[in-house]
Amino acid sequence: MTSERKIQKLLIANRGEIALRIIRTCREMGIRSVAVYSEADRDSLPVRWADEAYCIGPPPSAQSYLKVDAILDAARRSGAEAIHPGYGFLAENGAFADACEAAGLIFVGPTGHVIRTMGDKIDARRLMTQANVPVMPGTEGEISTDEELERAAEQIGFPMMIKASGGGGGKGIRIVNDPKEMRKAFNMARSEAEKAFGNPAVYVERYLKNPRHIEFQVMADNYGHAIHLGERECSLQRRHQKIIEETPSPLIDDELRQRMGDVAVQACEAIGYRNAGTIEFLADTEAFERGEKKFYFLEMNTRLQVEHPITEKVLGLDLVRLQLEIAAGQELPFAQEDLRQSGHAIEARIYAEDPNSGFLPATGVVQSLDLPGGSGVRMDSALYEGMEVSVYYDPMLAKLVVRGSTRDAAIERLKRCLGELHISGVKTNVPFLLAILETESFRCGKYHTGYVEQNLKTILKDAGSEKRELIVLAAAALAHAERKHRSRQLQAEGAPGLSTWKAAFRPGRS
Amino acid sequence: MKYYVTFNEDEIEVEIEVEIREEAGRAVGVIDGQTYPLDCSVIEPGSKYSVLIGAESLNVTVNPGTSELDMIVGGHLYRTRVLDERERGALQLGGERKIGGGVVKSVMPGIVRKVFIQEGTQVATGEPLLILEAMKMENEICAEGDGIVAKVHVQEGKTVNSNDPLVTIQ
Repeated sequence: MTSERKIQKLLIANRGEIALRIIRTCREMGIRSVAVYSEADRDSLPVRWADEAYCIGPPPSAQSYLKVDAILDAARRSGAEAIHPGYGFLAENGAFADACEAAGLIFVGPTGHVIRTMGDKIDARRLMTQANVPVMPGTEGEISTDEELERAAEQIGFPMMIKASGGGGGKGIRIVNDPKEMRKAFNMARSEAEKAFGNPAVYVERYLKNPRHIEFQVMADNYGHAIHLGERECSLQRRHQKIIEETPSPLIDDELRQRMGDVAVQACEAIGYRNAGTIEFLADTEAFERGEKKFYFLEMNTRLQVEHPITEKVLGLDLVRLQLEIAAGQELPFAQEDLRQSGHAIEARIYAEDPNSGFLPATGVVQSLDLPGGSGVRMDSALYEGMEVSVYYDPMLAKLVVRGSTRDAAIERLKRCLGELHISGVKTNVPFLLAILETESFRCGKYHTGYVEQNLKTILKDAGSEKRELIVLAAAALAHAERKHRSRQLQAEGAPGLSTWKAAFRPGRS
Repeated sequence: MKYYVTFNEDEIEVEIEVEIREEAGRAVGVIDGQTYPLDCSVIEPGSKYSVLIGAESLNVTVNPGTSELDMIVGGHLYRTRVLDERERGALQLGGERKIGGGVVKSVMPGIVRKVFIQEGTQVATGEPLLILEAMKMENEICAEGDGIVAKVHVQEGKTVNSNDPLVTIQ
């Protein structure tokens, strides 16, 4: 059916850290990389580090990174044989995958048909039920009227979830606790779904209280072989956005890993999946406490995930390399039994946001940057000094990934690295991440998807350190003195100067 | 010069006096009665410092856009407020400046999707005033106090920036 096709040049239809991450693998594989960029990203690292770069439009995503014609045109001009979509943007757009194939390009991912099927949550539920994959109790199809909503509520009970059929990544979900809120939430969910996904269809599902979000990485070649690459524990979330992910999951033992992994592979095979994907499950923590290890299919992400590096860290693999080999028509190079997780990996997502002002996205220019390093550390970011963090794109600045021989070692390493990371010019969630790592619940691995939001106040309080060390107070005084001095100088001369201040405070050195 | 540093204002207030002065050609700090040699090197003006206090080495990053001094030290956030003796003197003379309330400002850049109220509407605390869409999420902006809407500064469809006035309540 499919035969081997050499990929000599790859276009990356994305930006930021993931574009850079893919370019790095291309370089290692001897594949020429082609970046596409919006006018706002001219100076970005993917543009600078790729072999070729093409401008595809103005800053707003709708006029650049989401513009299929412009991207295909860049592919044609560059002579690339394949397109990697990364995550986000067009990665789960079936029409884009089809358009690539129609233009004679290899789309690094599944077929457009599979993307559409799994992207439609209602269709996906139906298919998974047929494949004997456990799904959450809920409505069989779309609900579009108040009457249907009321009937669904009667069947499912409260709390329930209204979910956009075209949603994903936590977008287009409303949780309803109270029948009185039901209609308002329903209307808002429909309007949001229409705007965000171009499809107002929503359905209702039972809302599991305090579940854990555990996902399995799957990989399938073009010849019907599918395997799983273990799990990722992604329960630490805020407003359905993942914050910290780890593998192995503290909840899972070998027996359950095998059982869930088998289900994930079964799901893959049922839909004729190919390339990298992720099957997300919800684990019923209340049932687990009773000794019943119940889990349900949540959704499938038909692309590379943001958090894929933790899987790479414990398996010693390069998932992008695997993706490209499979896309070029090669067979999976190993079997399920060849894979064994080694050690423990954690990822912390560094967001440009202000946890102390309701997590508002922060903007600014990165003035200076100290990145963590040392053993077992991987920093996936496209940050550079002078980079403008704008409102146009996702606020995720970087992924800090560490591996340790044990979970405790990995936690200590991550804490060490968060202390080393200094980004000035843009507020970040680093103190918040550290505060989460220091909670008792994280320490002992007992947390769930509601944990962060339910404990927000305590975590935020701890993020503002309790340690009122004298030297920190002195540092504050010094910083204040320098800032004051600088603003006085700016007023006096119209330009910053440091010599006088240095003379005053570092007399021995100036 | 003396500096008055306040920590974690909304929690426990700790105020400490720090005096920075020169002694035998070197900067020293007197912190809570103890004298320490000081060496503050500016890595990035206004935002990043390497501080040696005695032999203790601290890397300090100051968050941007804060009237208070938000510092990141070792990944931890220290919310401080620093006044030097002149500023403190001026503040004590003038008394607390009264901040005019009543204007609901946009907390983020976004688009006004829906306005629920008009001038003259009586609103109660927690009542939704409008829906602001930012990053594809709809956010309800609610009244933070009881009152009457004196002015609506925006209309549906309007793009707003952070700190733009949305509604004035009296």
